[in-house]
Amino acid sequence: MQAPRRASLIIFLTAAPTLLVLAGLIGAWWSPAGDALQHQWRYLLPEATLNTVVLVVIVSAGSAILGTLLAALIALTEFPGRRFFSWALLLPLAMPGYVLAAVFAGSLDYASPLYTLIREQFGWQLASVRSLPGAALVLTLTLFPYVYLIAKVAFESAASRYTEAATLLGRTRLQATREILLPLATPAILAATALVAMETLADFGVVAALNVDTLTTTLYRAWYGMFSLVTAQQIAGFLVVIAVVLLMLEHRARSAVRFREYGGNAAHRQRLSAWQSAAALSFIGIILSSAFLWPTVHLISWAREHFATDIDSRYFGYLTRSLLLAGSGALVVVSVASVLAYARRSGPGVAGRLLAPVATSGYAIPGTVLAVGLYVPLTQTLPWLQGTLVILMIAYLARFLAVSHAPVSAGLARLPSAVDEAATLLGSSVGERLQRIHWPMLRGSVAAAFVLTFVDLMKELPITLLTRPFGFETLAVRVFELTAEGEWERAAVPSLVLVLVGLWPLKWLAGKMPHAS
Amino acid sequence: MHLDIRDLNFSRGRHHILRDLNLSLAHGEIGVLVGPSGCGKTTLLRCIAGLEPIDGGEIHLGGRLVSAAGHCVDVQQRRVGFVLQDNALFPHLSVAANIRFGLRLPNDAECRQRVEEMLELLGLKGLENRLPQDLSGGQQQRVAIARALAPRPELLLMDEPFSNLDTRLRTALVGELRSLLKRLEITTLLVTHDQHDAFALADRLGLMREGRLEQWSSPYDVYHRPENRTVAEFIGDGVMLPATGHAGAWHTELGDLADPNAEGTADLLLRPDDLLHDDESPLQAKIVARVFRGADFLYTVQLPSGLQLLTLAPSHHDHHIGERLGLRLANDHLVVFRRNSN
Repeated sequence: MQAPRRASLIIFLTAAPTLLVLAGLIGAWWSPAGDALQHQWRYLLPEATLNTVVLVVIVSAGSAILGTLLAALIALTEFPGRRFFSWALLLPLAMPGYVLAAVFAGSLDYASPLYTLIREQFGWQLASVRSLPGAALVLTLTLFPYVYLIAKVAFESAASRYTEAATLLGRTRLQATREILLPLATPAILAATALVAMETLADFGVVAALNVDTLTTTLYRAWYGMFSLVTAQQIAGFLVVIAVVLLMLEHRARSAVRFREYGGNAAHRQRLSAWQSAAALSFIGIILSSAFLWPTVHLISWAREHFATDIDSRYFGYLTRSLLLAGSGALVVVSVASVLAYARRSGPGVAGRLLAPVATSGYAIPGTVLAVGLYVPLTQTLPWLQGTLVILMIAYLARFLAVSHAPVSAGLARLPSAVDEAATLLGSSVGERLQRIHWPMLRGSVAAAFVLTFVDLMKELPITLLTRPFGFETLAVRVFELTAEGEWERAAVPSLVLVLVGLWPLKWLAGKMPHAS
Repeated sequence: MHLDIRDLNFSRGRHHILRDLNLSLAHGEIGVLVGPSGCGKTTLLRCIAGLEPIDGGEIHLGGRLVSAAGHCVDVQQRRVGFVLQDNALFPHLSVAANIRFGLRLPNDAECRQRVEEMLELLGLKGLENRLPQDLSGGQQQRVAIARALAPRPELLLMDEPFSNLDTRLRTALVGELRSLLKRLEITTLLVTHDQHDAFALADRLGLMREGRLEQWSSPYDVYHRPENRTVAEFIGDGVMLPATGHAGAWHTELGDLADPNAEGTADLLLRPDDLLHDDESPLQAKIVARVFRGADFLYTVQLPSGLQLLTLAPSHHDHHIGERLGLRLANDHLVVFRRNSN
């Protein structure tokens, strides 16, 4: 087969799961609506849709504002501890949303010290955390680092390049920030916000733990509670439409990004006065404690109480299954991502070039949708797949391919084809080239891809929950089941394990940020 | 003097970047600084613009003291235009908006008129609504110059403004820039590493080396009357011809050169154009290398003693390596660097 054709075929195969999901869900909309759907539409869907939309809007706006403010503080000002917090503000990424939800739900009720204090001191009656505002708060606190990370890089790059030019043309720092830096960072901030919106749309764990009815929980109920596959598929189709809109917004924003990455420069940071520093530190402190510090301390104290009574041989099973699933899943995803990256590099035909973005756009599709969209057609055509991990793996692949593909293709981009040509001219074979040139240069990227994917899979909830073989419990599933029963405190041990694992990839994420020299 | 720099000192940590630097420019003059990279050229421009506070000395601009140790007038108050090395055009603003960015005129109509004027002056008509990314390198450079000139600065600073342009474009732009700056009477200090640009632009030319200004005079003087060996060796091509002096002349391998002050041993600077091609001359040298430069040849010739010299010959004087060439000294003045005393 000719090389471009072979590359196109590979790309088609990697895009196949996503294409299958999309085709199946479009098909489901044309199939006759069962009674179940009528019921869903009438009673549940309007409220679930409204909740979903409101949640997406609040969390996106909240994360955009919070992330941009924090990024501006870290990138454009200088105060004691700035370098430490520049990194520490990524810690909330290690906290799975449903874990934070469990901590909030378990510790912030009417009788809790915080609520009592506020009630007695100010006479305010705080809303329960187990509500839409509660879910919005939890999601914002776990998702704002996406915006923070990207906005910080954008601000630092723009500041080091344009602040002086603006100053020379008569602007103060504040004016330069408003007129130059903020407009330049806006596309990047919008792209990150679209990502936050997708994650919010896809969220299942947080809303389930806090009893908020959204499209994903309604889909779950149609699937598990009523066993109505058609209804589940139709809700999934509805979710996909929203996801595609968000994906297009993200692409548009990303294509408008006009800055190149430059390192930050101390000279472009405004030194804050003592009072300003104190205010900045308190702001960062409040965010960091509520998103990471305080919940972690809470989890540790709960875990200590329940460690002796709760930990038995079953936990060993949860842990083993989690590690096994995440490990083999990451291996599959990284391998396919590498093959895809090579196929794209080798210059595929037109079809391949058109399909390549489809292959890596599964991250926009909620896990619940992928689960339903793959499970139904696959088990209908290949019934023996039921009870195996195959569908689970394919769904993981579709959703997390982009996570692996980004670092691998970035690594491959540093290896221009001229290097291969040079090696070939020096007489080296394909195998020798892979071993002596590609692997040494790509090792780091592949390792990063593996860790990022592995950790995402450890924390993954909806796909695992919906497509796992019966009784196959992992740490994430265990946390979900315990919080569903209101056993917040007993969920602490598996939650802590997930948080610990989540700390692992921060090294790579922090490495993406150019270091101040 | 419009720009007056006296005994300027600047250091970063333990590094002395600028040492006891003196320089001045009259109103409307164009000054050019050349020098190897890392010699402090860019830092000097940044000090003048007010981007770096200085450690010692004084900078006067338009008769006003703007920088001294412990004194630094804000960048915004200096009315200095600065074309930064990488342009730093604002990528999200159109050409017109970039040019307008620094304008502080009382009303919109005046701003628009000034932008029009700059577009006209720099040949950017028709490009006003483009974004910087849609412009060629030469056009971006013009926009950067227009943006810096639009507010009518008291002083224009330019850091390697032609470094990203190809030779043909830079030659054209250098010529245009000089006539534009002269017409607007803008006092300008420009940094470049290209001596051709420097010669073409400068009213005053300076060579900087290791934070010092080695010479500050007309381009003609820098080339023909270098004040020290550093300047002689860095600027232009040339060879040092060993000489011994007595009885009112320098005695060299190429013959005697009259100089009432000739005494002791010295090196005489010989430019390629000081040595003419003359078949009648008894002085013969062997060609060891040649560079065809289009309009002329630059030959490297070797004297019997082994000393190598440079000479220019018109383009049709096509000689081969190994051939002998007749030479005649045609220098109208002597540049003497005495040994032991220099």
